[in-house]
Amino acid sequence: MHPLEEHYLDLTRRRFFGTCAQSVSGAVGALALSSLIRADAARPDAPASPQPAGGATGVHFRPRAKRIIYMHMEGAPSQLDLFDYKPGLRHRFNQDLPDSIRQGQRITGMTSGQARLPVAPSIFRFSRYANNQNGIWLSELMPHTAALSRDLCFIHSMHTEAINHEPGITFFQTGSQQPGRPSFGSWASYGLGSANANLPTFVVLISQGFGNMQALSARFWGSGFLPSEHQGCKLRGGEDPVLYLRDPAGVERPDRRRMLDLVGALNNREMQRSLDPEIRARIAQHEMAYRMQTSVPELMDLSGEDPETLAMYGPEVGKPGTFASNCLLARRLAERGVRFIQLYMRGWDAHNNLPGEIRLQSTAVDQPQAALVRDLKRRGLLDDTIVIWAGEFGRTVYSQGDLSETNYGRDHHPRCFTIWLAGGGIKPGVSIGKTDDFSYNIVENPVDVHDLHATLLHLLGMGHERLSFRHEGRDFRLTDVFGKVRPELLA
Amino acid sequence: MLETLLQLSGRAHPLLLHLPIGTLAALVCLEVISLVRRTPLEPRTRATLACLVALSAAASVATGLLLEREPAYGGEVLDLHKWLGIGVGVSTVFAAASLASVKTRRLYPILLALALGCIVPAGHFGATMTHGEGFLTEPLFPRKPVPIRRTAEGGEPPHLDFGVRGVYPEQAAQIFQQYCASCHNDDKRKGGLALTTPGGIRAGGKSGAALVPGDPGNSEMVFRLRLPITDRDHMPPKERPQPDEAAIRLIEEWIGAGAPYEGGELSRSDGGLAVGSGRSPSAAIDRASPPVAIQIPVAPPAPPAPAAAALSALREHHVHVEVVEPERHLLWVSFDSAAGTDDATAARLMLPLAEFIADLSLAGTRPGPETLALAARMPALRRLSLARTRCTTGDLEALGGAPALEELNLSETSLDDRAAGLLSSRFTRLSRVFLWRSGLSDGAISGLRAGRPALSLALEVPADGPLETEPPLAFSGDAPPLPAPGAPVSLAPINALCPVSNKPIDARFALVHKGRVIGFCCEQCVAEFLAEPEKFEGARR
Repeated sequence: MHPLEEHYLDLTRRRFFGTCAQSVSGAVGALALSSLIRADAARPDAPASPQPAGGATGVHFRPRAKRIIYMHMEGAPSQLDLFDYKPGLRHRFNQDLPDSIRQGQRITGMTSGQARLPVAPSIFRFSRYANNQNGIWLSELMPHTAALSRDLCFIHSMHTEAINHEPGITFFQTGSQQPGRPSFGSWASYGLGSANANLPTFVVLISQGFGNMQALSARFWGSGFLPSEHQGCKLRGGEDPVLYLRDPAGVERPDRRRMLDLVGALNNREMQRSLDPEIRARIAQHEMAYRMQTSVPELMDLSGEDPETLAMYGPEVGKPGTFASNCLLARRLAERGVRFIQLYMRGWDAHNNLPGEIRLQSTAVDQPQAALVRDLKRRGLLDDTIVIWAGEFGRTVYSQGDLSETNYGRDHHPRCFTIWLAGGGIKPGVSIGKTDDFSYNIVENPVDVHDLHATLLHLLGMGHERLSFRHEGRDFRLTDVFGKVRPELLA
Repeated sequence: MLETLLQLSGRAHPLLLHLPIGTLAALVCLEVISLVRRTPLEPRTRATLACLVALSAAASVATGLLLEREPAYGGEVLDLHKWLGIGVGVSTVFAAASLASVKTRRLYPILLALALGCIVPAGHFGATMTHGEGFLTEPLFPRKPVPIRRTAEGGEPPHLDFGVRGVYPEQAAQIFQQYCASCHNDDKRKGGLALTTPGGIRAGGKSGAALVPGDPGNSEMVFRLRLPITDRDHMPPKERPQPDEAAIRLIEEWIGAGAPYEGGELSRSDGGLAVGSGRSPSAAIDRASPPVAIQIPVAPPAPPAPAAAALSALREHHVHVEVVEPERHLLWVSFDSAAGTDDATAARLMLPLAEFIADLSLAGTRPGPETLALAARMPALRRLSLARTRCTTGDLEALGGAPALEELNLSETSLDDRAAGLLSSRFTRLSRVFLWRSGLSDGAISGLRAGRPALSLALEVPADGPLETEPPLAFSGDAPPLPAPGAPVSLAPINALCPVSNKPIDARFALVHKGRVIGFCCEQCVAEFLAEPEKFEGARR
């Protein structure tokens, strides 16, 4: 519909408030009414507005998964040292990278000054673990994860176009290297809505790493041009996941409720006057914050967890802000119906001193991520939760900086990298795609980021070509104009 | 610009034509009155009126001819109207002219009578084009709309078999006849479209093709039928009778089957229907005989949808409800954010939606007997989660017999070993059950495995060690370098003399034979060589 026609239709209040009532995070029309009705006199803590489900569009067909836990390894973990087994490279130590392999690919400014591109084989030993094919070779850095290889789907043939972190992560999250588009979690929130009225639909947890760290921008979990209520809500590491969540001394819950009602009424008046949808988003955020005042402390309260479960996540689980603690929180969020849980682990960008850095990183993530998958599986949640582990691109086979038998670095490599998926309709125990002997080019079954997005949306029950939002006259989709669902990834 | 002017002028025809009608009628009345009274009409009055008639008639004819260029009208009726109208114009002009001289004045009454005789039928045919046949007299013969009787009266609706001849004339044609033909027939083609013959349907109209055979989604006809009735482009126009859902569905299916026209032409005559050649003609229905019920087989009724009031009642209690299968309206209901709901309330809220719930999560709640009994009766319930509910074997008994249940999550519950027996014997369609920390002992679990080997039990997740590990690493740089890409091959012939004729070669005639490029002097030598290459093998230089 023409934007002017939309606006004129909005001017008939009924339609505007009708749309509000369907918005994801709160029925503003009902709010305006309920602020006058003291229906919660019996339950002063009760959240004021009902949670309509289905969000803006709802599923298009039967979904296989209901939620996604996405662990993003920021910095680009080295596939050669973790998941892509190339034993032949042991005999090519310090040889030059052949031109027939490199085929003239551009080199970043960090290695363009190097005289040579020496091949650096991985110094980590690989072992073969059983899966539903002929077994898969995985390195000694991640034994806990490798032990689950019957449940994991490894994609060795991922590729992307971005060569640096910001555009790379932006591309992986939003489907475009240029910023401004909504992230995957926002699309999921827009398409499906929340399953739990008391928690945000899209939660982000960040843990600091031990290696070279790059910046993380808040727009990686931003809502782009979608209404702001779909943006990711970052829970801080540390004692206080949400600042100022607790009411100050002297303010009781009913006082807080009355304050929100008054502010809501004033905002409502302005919204009726100006029809600005961002005001609706703001009211929705206020209501969500009110509900989170009770739900977040309950979420963070680990006293109900039994020690065996906590031990499974490793020794760091008690420390808020670590990856282990975030993995446990991710499981708890999944249990409570949060749609899209995103964990960022920083520090994988090993341009130099890769062996040392990757050991520290792997130790920090291996046990918790495996524990997360096992915990979800035994509680029966893995069937409708997709777990994704991915970086934004891979690392080069040639060493950046000095190469020795015990130390090397690797530069960025977008042409092939490895990710793994589990759960929610993903085919378990398989290895998709192959790279060449240098882990440089893909020789079989390339999967690009758009295809991955399309497949994930398909598993969530939405057609990637149907989930769209009109902005500036164009129907944008997460997959832009690309992407196709990959049946080899589906169970 | 000119075109627009011409079109505008043409469109003035329905306006202008009233002038000659009025003025001619006035003139004729005055003549008749003057005859009766035996007082001749004032010459000047007569002349003025006659000129007015002539001029306005001429203008009407001119604009009418311009309007003819538009495709909205056509056919026999248009021709009749046109020639009669031209007759009016000619006769009125001559009538006016005849008043000029005494000699020709005798012709005046004849010409006037001729004009009158032409204008009446011309007007009739003109109005037939715009308002359809029988417009004047229609109120005298009320035509009840033909009732469309469904063949399925509570039974299985008959399959719509387009292999059977005659669907088009019998059903689709009758729909067109009833709802469309008054404006879209051969004589009056609104929008240039006639829907009474296959040829007309195929030809389409001003908006393009009426339908795309095999593709109802892209057919203009379906598009317009499905528009909201208030939309300007909706067909039939909102003042006219509207086809009901069954009729529209039939048209869609007929188009989807390729819009077959078996059964031949049909023509519209006097509002009746006559099926043309090709099959035994069914009785032509004319206005006198009673309307015949059209039998339209009905598509299966749309499955019932969950009541909106029930959905919003659930949502007001913060229970999450979501459609997970849009076609059959199956729901996922989750009490994640409504853990405090008591048993009776939960059962009461879910009761109206019980037949739609496919996936129910009571995880983390305290389900009571009413809720569990309701869950046991849900016909579509495939997955049920009782994780973290501390439910007991007694609760599982209350659940017993859920007919469609395929997956049951009993992790972190407080069952005892009797539950294994229940799982074994009841829940016949169960294929997965989660039993981590469910309270069942190992013995009970192995008993369950033995009793139901096809049942997938999820317990603790095993962590396997590696199958093999590579030996300790040793680096070397002694792997052979990759083979360089092959040197480019030269296409120059390796010989100077033709092996067949021993003449110098012409580089245009060359052949690749056994990996070598051999040159020849002419085409015939190439052909000879190819016939018997061994003969010339040794002769190459």
